[in-house]
Amino acid sequence: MREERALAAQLDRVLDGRERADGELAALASLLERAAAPSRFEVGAKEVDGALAAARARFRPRLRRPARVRRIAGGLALAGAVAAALVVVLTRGSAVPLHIEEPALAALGGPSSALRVIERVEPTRPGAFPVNVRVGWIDARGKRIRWDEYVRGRKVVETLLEGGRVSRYLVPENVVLVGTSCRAFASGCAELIDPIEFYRRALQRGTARTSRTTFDGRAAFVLRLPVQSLPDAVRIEQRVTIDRTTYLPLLIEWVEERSGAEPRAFARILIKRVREVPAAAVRFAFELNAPTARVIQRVTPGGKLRKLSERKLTRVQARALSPPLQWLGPDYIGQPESAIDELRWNAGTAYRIRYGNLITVWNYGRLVPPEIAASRYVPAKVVPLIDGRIARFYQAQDGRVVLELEGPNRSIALIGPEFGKESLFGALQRLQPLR
Amino acid sequence: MEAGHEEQRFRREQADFESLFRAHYPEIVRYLTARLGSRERAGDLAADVFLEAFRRVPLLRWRGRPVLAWLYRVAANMAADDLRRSAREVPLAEPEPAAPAEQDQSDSVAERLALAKALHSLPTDYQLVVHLRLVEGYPFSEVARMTGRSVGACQMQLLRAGRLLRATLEEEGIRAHA
Repeated sequence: MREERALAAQLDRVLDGRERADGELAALASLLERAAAPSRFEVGAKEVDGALAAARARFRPRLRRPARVRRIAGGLALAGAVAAALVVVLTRGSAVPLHIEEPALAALGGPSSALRVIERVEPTRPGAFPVNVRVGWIDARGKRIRWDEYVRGRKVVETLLEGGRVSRYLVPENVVLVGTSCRAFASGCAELIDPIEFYRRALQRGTARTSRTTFDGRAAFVLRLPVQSLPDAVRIEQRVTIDRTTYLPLLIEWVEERSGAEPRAFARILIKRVREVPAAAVRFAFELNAPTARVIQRVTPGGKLRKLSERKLTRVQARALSPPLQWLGPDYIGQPESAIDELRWNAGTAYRIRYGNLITVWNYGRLVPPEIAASRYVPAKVVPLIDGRIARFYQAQDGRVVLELEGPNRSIALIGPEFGKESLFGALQRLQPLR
Repeated sequence: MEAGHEEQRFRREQADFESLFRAHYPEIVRYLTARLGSRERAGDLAADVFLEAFRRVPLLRWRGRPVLAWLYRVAANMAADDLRRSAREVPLAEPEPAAPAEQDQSDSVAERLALAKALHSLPTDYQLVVHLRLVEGYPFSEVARMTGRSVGACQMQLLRAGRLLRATLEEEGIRAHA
């Protein structure tokens, strides 16, 4: 350690030009210099002036006015805002239905109709990821939902929720995973979250905030439906744009709001078709089309989940496990593997392989570890891999992104505090058996 | 005496937002560009950092660290939030390399891209030390004051950052040379 510290101090002197070096230090100094070089750009006085002017525009009242004037101005502004709000309410009350929830619900055939829905899930930045097409059947009376997902015209997943039981057919792998509830799957029922059904339930509760807008040249309403607040002060809202004539939904966006930041849409779903279908017509929709698939049963813990033990494994112990654990090798982008833990709960066992605070790889079978269980509301994103398997991005309960690779014997999940989807996807390519 | 001078500067920056902005906006933009890989997003986020500074800096208490340390902390948190938010929306595209300046013509484009990517993948506290020491040119005594660590710890972080960069490049098949 002392030698390392001396080396680190020497590196500083080399970088300063106070000392010459060769070998490792010279290579590191050169590398660090080259890495830093692109960031050594000038921010010109003109740009600073412009940014300051923009900042002034944002802070003007507080920059310019003394405190007493600010207080008076604040009072007047508040009074003005209240008066303006009253005017808006009084003048618009006659034009906007007070409860548009009722006609909107009726347009969907009422609270318990059967619906067939076709959605196009688009990236918020065009071209950033493939468009998914989802075809769904929602039988509210029978409490059944089925979604088929297509990417680039190829069906990749069929998911069925019926009587609380979830079946997921991984088409490329020809495997059906069956769970007794959503909790049997890491991503929960994230892909079963049907924005239309969520919207329909919100209409019944009458909790939407409504305003007018236009969409594609058509007069429309926007309904804002609060969804949930995540622990790191993130609020999620569903915004539904509905046609002002037919009251049918046209666009659904999931919007994330952080304190102090502008709201940002993170999912955009165009409703290509939504129509009520007779109950008899959906009878055959709730069967998976997987005649030759291998069926694998997943379990959901009955009662309360209790952790029984947690112990560190040596690599020798980990290598002895069968089937072998998947890991990222002895180190990942320079961060050595720091711990392999075996965690046992009353309903199953999972293995956690940590690379410091950089990234964690979970291996689990029957039971989904609570730390990577999905947030209840935000939909999952399905991405086909080159080898035909399906990876699934979803949001954990603390808002972090998880990448899950579901397998017949063991599933793998990757999570890193600073890792976004692309970085997780990069890590996925490095998975290998720990032998 | 030195501490007294530092405290005076802290008080001055608390009271004079414009001076604070002019003195530190450029380096916050440079830091955010390195973190986000986008000059445009860095400019937007730097504006948010200074909005927060406008609200909060007058309320800060002197704890022996400059206002700049606080600005870097807020910028780092906002960058992390922004990266998380972007990641949730869509998979990030290949990070665009930071604004070109003083590029070594002998470096191949592939190496520069790999280096930018490798730098981006460093732990965030390593990225900050690299930035403060090598981009802004602060001595380690100043880097230590801003990061709240010892000089030795900061030097070790830089050494490790260099090794991580080298390992990442080698994984890409690029050998670090002196």
